[in-house]
Amino acid sequence: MRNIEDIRKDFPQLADPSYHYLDSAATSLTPASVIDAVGEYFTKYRANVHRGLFGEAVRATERYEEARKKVANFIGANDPSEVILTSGATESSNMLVRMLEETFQWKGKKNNIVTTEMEHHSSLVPLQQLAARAELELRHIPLNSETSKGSLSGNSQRLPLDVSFELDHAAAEKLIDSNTLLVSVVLASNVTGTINDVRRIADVASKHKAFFVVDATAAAGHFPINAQKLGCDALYFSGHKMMAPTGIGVLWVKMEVLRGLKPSQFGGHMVAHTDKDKASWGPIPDRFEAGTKNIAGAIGLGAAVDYLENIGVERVHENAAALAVEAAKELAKISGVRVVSPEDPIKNIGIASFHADWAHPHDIAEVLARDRVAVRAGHHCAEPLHTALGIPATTRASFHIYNTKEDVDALVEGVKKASEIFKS
Amino acid sequence: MNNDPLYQENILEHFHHPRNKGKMEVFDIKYKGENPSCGDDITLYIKWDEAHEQIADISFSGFGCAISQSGASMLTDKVKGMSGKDIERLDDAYMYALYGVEVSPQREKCALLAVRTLKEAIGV
Repeated sequence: MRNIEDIRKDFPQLADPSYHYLDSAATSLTPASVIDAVGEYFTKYRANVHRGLFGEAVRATERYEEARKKVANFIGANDPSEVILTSGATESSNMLVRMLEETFQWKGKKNNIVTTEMEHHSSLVPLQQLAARAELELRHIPLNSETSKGSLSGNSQRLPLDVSFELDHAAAEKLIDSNTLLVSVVLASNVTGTINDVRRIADVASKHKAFFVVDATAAAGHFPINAQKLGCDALYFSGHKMMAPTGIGVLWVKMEVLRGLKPSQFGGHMVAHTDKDKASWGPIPDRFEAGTKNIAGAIGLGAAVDYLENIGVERVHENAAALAVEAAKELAKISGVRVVSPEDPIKNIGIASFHADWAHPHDIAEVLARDRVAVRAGHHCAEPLHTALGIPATTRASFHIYNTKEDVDALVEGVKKASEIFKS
Repeated sequence: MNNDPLYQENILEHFHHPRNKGKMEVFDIKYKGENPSCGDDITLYIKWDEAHEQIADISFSGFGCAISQSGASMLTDKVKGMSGKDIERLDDAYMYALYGVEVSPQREKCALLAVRTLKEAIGV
């Protein structure tokens, strides 16, 4: 097994040892093998896929389709054709909503969609739009108030150890009912880092025959994913949070469902026959991949899957979660700091987010940046979750396989320094 | 004291002890400005003098980072007695001069939130 110091050498951006990259939940760093795979496409076999008959075009097509197979294997899909390559989680989620809407013609105030308070805007906003267009009720599974809000009234000193920032499963059972058409749940929160018990909600959705979607964006590459074991009908994520380039993502849909879905984007490649007035659709997955996709990105995604499988996604999680929990414990000792991430590493994807009553997250992040500690500050495109937590914004440190105890120490030192600056 | 290049004594002083902070009971204009990237917001309360020519009183409420909040504090202290024409002349450089230190481009929206909100509020 390679040690972390050795693994760090795979990431050119970590060449400077004084740099502490703790923003992998925003986008992960890229290993040299991914950069090389993308570079090779541009320098040796740049060509469009599925079209040309020359050698480079054949090679590009092979690499593109290999990436699809690698992704399928990575998420435990039965069939590579279930994997639709998109530009990212946002396109995946928007496309999926439109495909479902086109296919099932959902309508009516009696029916509802169930999601959670923990969603990223990329999952939530398309659902809001669907609800508005189809006049459906949008319901939100809340955070478990006993485990999440126990310390809200207190003076943000130290959180009780049982705080887990989980979803309220009892509420989920009530909110999902026989009028529920769609349930959409985030696998891991990009703010708190909570890994949700998605299977438990899948079973409730299944009981009511609701379509079940999982947003795996914060989890992909950080935690082993098996779409079938999660019990979902569809699942999506971005490549760039799992070491692939930006602009590539995945929408997985179970074949028995995918066969019945209408495409939502139209153009070249997705058609079988076209005449002046109408067109018929090509085979799956082509009919869901209109136009020229991000070929270099797909090849990079394939290389990223290879890299992650070589390291072992379980090991990524083990390292990231252990460091996040350690950081959370140290940060919680600083007066005025309230950590909003699970303290149990099994339930934490590798994130330590916190709020301080003495400074705004942007001020803290700026002080950290001076010492080359890269974190994210704000609401992280999850405003409703912050509202539920009762805080306007958080400072988030997110960890990956390439992070070490030195990064935790630099973070904690930096936050202490900020507290000295801002505390009156 | 600290040696941070941005968070110097005057900014921190205004952050910890903001001037003119609070809602006004009687006002002519109430206007909210937001910086969505930070989640900062400032609501200005403005009262004109009897001739409706100069700002007689001004206050602000809101939530945000030390830069936006100290900026609102410093600016509201300066603009009492100014006319609409005076406000129109206040530019970005004026605001940066109040801070007295270099503000990075990432914090530009925080730094200029107060002055931009004020100009929008009185329509200049």
